[in-house]
Amino acid sequence: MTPGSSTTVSSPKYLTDLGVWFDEPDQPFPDEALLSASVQRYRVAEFSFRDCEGGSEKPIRPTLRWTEFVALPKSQEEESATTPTIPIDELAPWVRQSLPKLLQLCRLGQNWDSYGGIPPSRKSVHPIVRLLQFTEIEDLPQPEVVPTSEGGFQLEWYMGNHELEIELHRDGAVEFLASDIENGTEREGLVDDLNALRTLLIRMSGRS
Amino acid sequence: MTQRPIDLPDFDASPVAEVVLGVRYTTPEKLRVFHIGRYRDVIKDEFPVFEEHALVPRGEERGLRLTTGPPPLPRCWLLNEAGTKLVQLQTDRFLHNWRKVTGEEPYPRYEAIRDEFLRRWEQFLRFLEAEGLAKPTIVECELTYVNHIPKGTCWSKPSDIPGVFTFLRDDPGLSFLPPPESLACNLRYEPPGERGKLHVALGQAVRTQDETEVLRLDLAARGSLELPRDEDLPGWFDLAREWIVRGFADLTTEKAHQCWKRKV
Repeated sequence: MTPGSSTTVSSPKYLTDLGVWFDEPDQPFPDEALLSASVQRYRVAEFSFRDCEGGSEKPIRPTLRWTEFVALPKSQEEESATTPTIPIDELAPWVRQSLPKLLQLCRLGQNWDSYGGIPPSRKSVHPIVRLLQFTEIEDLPQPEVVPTSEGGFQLEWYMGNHELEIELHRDGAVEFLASDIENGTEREGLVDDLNALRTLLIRMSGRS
Repeated sequence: MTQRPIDLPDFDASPVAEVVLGVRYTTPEKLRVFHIGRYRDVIKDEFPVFEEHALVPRGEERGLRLTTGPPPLPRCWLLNEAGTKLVQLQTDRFLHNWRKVTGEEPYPRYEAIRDEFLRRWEQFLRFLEAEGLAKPTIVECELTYVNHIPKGTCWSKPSDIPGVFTFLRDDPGLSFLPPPESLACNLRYEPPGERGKLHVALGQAVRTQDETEVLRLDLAARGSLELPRDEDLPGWFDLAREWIVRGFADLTTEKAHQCWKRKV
């Protein structure tokens, strides 16, 4: 399938936290139309694309992006108001405890690390907090929060022989590095979806 | 400019951080992206900064939706240089906001903000007419006041919060539970005459700009019927303002009023 060609769509196969997946195309879908789906709570529009690289179609898995955790208003009152505030009454303790550090790091100046480091943006804090909130993990120690040179954040947990680093890139990508020092093993990569992030955190939660 | 009613509660150090006046409307022909660009040209001398934000749907529009056709236009913000005034435009809404940015800006008062909104709305209608678009029909009006009550002013710890709000003041006679760790509530009132509803939301928040913890008290009046008609607009907003200001005075305690230097 090439971009611009007609494609087909069926009823959603299943609905996840982050999108709608379609399977087994069975009816034409016009070229000029755009298929969009939004999911309550996350307000994330996801699209299921197929790539024709190498002549065979293969699904492209979406990766988690914190930038898609739009600051959805808690109530209708907030829809039209624009004053930037982050509601804290529903946050898990570890997220609430991390918030001051996230905001504080946004005060860093350009070249903060003397290697051309970019300071994190204040606008990024609210969607990141929402992403962490939506993992629905209540019992987790407060992570170390450090800035990255590229203007993102890194959350770090150290528990016994286990370490977990979650890097929130400035462009929205979420990456992880999980280490088991005892076994000398490491896993790393992009976090595919909210469930994958939740799984990583639950594993650390179980070790606390 | 309309005069302020002399018996309306008034504060020298009001905690108001933002005021929004706006309308939701329907049009026979939808605004297109180039209309927004042209409208920006009309007001760009006063509102030179442009931002795009996610469209926020009405409550009943949330949930799974499959649509075909062009993607929806974003909500566009047209801001003044200081960021204290903005026009928000999306296909079905026209909103005018005044807000504090540094926290030091004096509150220009409702009358001035209302008159500016009405001027902008008239200007927007003239723009639509010049573009050959039909006059929109207003389906809902909105007036919202956002108040920030910073920690360290009239409250310092969670157990102080009931001393700020009359609806939390009464001692519930708890003998076991400690003060709540967090607090959030929503209240709704219906003014007489089916002219809308007053929504009140209280929650704890952190103000992003200065990292200050605040109690955020939002009071929003909305007329949900196909009223008011254009000619009723100023009257509707004045009634909504009265409900919000008198409601704010009712919902907050005398102790808090002293903190905000109540005059009337």
